[in-house]
Amino acid sequence: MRNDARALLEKLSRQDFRYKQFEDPYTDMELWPVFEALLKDERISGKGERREEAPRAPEPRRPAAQARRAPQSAKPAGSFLGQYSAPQPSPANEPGRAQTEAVDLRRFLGKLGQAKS
Amino acid sequence: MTVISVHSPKGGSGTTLIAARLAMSFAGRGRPVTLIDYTRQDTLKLHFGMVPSQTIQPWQGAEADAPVIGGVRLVKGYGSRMAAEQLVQDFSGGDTSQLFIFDISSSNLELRHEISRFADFNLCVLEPSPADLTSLTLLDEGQSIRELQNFGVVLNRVDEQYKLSRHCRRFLAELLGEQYFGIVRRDEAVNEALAQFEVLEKFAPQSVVLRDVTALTNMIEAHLKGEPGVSTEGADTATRRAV
Repeated sequence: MRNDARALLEKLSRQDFRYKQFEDPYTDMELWPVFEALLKDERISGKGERREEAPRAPEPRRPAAQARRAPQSAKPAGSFLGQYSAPQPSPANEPGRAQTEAVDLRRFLGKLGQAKS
Repeated sequence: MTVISVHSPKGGSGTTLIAARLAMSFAGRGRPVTLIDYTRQDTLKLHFGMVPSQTIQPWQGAEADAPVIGGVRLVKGYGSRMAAEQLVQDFSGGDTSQLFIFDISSSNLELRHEISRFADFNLCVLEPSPADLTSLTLLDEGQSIRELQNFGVVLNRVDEQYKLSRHCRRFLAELLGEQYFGIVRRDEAVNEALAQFEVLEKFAPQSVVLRDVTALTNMIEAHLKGEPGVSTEGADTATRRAV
């Protein structure tokens, strides 16, 4: 139990207070398809990222910086969105999506994650 | 003179609660506040201890009085013939310390756009639900939400015992960065206070909603002052560190 919770119980002269701390370890975070769909939506993320990336030559499927952050079993500790940087089984993942677009999305999400970590 | 709009692209997300609590919070800091209700439901008054039979007439000009409760002047904008900006001009009277807060109906995107043109800050209220998150896509035509200026999102009715609620909170915090203005947690005391026709401070002075709105007020105040990297003692400080 956290010290502040223990101090509160003492202050209230209670011992049987039900206490639970709801904190998700990163390894328990679920990859909700709705999050992924929203991240791919230009009305949320903007067009700038893709416009910026489009003229560039296609990059390796997993750039070196991101390779250090994967694999999926060892999820990045500093970023929730970083977990979306690898393709996830989801209805939002259209099977025929262009390879370059997938690369761009991973880069975008990776940048988002790095910016916050 | 400062103008804040409170709006949600999805109905039922609690804009009225947030607008009312923000108004009282700013008024408690000595700011003269005018709260303008642009919703049809006419429930804003309940947050100030008024009863359903008490009505505030739509503002049609200086011939009518606007009630002042807890330092907040309540004005009914819905049904008024006056434009929102004209209404602000009428009430400001040249007083630059005046704060105007608009509670805007979710269905009235046109009014949201109109007010956003002169508002100093536009607060979007969402619940931690897939429907609310998805409604963000309809907020602004032609611009992504990450490109909006003077814009922030607060997550209302967060209940941390639910996994999706926690995950929505973390998702938005990381997606929006500086546009993320934290959370207001769910507390049934809000409804109980309304049912008693009492203001929340009196009915449940320890309510977590009061604490969270204080943190939200701090963040908005800092934003209005142009202070980067807001540091608050509010409920979401831990989350901001965590993400």
